[in-house]
Amino acid sequence: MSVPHPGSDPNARLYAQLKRDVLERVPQITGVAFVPDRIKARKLQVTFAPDRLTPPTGPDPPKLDIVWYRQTPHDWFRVDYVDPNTGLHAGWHQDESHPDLGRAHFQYTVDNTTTRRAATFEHETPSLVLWEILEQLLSTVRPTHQPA
Amino acid sequence: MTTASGDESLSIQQTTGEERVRMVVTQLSEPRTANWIADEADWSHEPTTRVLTRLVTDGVVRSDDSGPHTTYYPDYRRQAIREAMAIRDSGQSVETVTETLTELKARVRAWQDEFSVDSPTQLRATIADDLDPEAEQRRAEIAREWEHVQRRIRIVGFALREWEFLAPTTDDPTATG
Repeated sequence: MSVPHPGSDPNARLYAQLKRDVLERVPQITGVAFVPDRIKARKLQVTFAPDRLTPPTGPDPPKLDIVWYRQTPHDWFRVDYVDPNTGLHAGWHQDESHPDLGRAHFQYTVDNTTTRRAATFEHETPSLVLWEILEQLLSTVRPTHQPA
Repeated sequence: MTTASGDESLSIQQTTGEERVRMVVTQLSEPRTANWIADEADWSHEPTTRVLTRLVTDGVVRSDDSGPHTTYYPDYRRQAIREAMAIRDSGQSVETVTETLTELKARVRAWQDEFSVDSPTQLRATIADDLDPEAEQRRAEIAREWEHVQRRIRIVGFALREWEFLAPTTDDPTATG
């Protein structure tokens, strides 16, 4: 894929959109940073308040890293949650790493054991897909895999 | 999907229908009808159309009436210019932004030298060569990052060329889009 003309490129504003549309509206999130800086904007790094999560964790804040490229026919993304306190890692990847699981897969690592399964999303709008991922993380994945 | 507070998804709890229509229509990858947009935004047709009409008036979205149904598509030029404005407003000095641009261009040159290719597309073409899976994966990752760096070079370059023009005023109006 060649780089499209800026006037037709959906990537220019993507991270700012994800930040505004989703991440700044989640009460458990205390920080959203462009990494390594606002200009290079290679990825977004999200910081959670450990005591606002259910069940809570700590003392260190869990992080969520987002790398997302708009492209056709399907976006490429990796969204990875890491809790340094428990070692829980959960990732939603729409990359080419596990074609046997379909376009996207979900993977989580607990006690150094990684489990993968296919992932599907109801939406194709990146901001709405990210909402789905955060909902799965906060409502299902953390309560299931996080020691209470 | 359900949550502890009911059957509504998290996005519906935390956003309004109007906000979701804006999210959908500013991230389309192809022109879509109001029905498609309403469905994707989990909102009803009539208010979706009202919001779309306003976004067209505001210049955020373009509409096309030439087919059987009106379709909508975001004006991505506007998003690129807003991103250049965000770089201008990031608090970095012109010297720092210039250094960053130089650094980004140096990364491109390093990739061109390492792989003896001119572009990410050419780098991808070399993946078909006899490479081990690890080398293939590395080249695919670099091609993706290379494209990202090229996109940033264009936007940062625009911000630098128009540095004075884009200087923020003290009473910066609330931007949209």
